[in-house]
Amino acid sequence: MPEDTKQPDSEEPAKPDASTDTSGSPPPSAIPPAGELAGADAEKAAMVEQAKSRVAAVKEGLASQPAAPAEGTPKPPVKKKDEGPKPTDASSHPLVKKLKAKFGEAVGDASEFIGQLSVNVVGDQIVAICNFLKNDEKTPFDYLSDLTCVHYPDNKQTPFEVVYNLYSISENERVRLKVKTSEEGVESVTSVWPAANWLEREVFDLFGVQFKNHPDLRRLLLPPDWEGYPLRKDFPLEFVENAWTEKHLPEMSDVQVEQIQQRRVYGLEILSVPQERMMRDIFRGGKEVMTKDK
Amino acid sequence: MTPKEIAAHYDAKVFDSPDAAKVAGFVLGETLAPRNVWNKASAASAIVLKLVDKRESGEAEEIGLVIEPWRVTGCYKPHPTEVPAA
Repeated sequence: MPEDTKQPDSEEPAKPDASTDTSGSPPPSAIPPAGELAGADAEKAAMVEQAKSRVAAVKEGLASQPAAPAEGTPKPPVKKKDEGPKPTDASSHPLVKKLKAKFGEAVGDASEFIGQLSVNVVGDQIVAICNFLKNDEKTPFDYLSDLTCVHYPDNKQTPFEVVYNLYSISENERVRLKVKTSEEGVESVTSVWPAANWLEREVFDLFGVQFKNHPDLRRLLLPPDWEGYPLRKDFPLEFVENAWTEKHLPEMSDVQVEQIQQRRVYGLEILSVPQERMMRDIFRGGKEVMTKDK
Repeated sequence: MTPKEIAAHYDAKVFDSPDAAKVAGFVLGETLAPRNVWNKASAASAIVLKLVDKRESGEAEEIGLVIEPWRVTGCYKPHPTEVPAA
């Protein structure tokens, strides 16, 4: 007869089973011998002692900490973050030495900033210097990575700085040439790197710097009859109306003009960004100027 | 730089409202109503650079900026010799 089919009133005494015992006492097979039990007690006691010593150490540490400063006492000054890297003089750089040996006074100060070498050069010699760098045997700077410009309105004589970023593909080296100039500009380097064509057109378009002997110097991004040079510091980022916009953009109706004026008055143009909407609420001081706006 | 910092850099006075500038004897000039803080700084820079040229040419004795929450206005005090007689 299988065990699971036994009737409860069977006379045969059931064997004690650890899995079915619910009295709480361990089964005889699970009780360790006396010696082993004493060892477990000792281990347990040691762990308790360790825990007590840890608690005591934490309490001592808390007691030794200085008390919290009283209210009204000034907070200690916040430590300033360490200043970042600064440009260093690079006149002893081998490439700068080579350039100075070749071009003398035409090569000015050189600086190195986080591994980037920048050399100031005189505008008259820019084509010769670029030619020299491109055909240099050791590090041929055969790739004009970028050509851009910076406007410094405080420099009255030379408010623009044309920047040439050169790269040597074979030697994986970079150098940056900087030329200070006025609106009259510098010689074009399209004869050295044909890629300079559109880059110089872009600089002319956005800064108004001329490039002499450029094959096709005209605006690149803006319409030909656009007035002004948008990347100069005296040109606002905001939409400006000029002769071109009057001529080419559709005329706004009176209602549209009034809507724009109202939006400007209440600052509603910026409703698209939640943070700016919050700023607008702050500026308005919580007044409900236009309830429909909600 | 913020518009106030730009004004300080170019030695321009700062006013809170156009009326305050008028009371101080300044003539209001170009106004730009930028949409955000970056455009506001750019507008202040653009206006103040034109005013600096005006001051250097002798047309203006002093220059200033009227900085309101959503608007920047340039203003200048004409040179005493150029003020028309009333």
